[in-house]
Amino acid sequence: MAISRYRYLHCDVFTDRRFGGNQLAVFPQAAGLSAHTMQQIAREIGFAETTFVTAAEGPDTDVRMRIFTPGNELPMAGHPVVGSTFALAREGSIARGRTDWVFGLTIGPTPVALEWAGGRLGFAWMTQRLPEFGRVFDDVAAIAKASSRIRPRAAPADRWARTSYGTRS
Amino acid sequence: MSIGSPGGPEISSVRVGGTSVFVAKGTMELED
Repeated sequence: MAISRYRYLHCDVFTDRRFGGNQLAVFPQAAGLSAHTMQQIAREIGFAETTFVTAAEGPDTDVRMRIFTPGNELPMAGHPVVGSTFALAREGSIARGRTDWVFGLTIGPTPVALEWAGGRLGFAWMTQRLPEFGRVFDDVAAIAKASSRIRPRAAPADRWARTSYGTRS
Repeated sequence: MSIGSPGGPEISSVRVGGTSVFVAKGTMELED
């Protein structure tokens, strides 16, 4: 019986405290895993997102990375990119002191700017696509009603627009 | 991250920044 081994790192993102922030699992060497298996692993782990890093598919990126929630694959997302940057820096895949890195996401090349402090990666900035504004909604109360997280009186503006950063295809 | 609105100021770039801390590592062994 053959056994395939895949290392993974568990990181907490958008925090400087262990066991805080957003959980993320990163598989830094995921070559050989099918998309189906990636999805199964992401579902099994159960974090909001799990990332799988493989070799770059073109000269304009450093690596290819796919992002999965327990339910589906995302073309792009912020917390997995930030967290994976830290994971790859810890692994040494991103050389210490390097100031730029490009992930090949499903949405396309996504650059990250790196800030180092004391020999460690201290902060990562992901540049994402410009927003694309869609239909404007004037009925704020209806929007608030459709979302359990927005109270009508808390709505900050009288007009809302559907906005996409390419996170949904 | 800054987000504009239709008819509002033109957005030149959108960046998301943050930190991350290492928690643990492991190995997943998958039997074929």
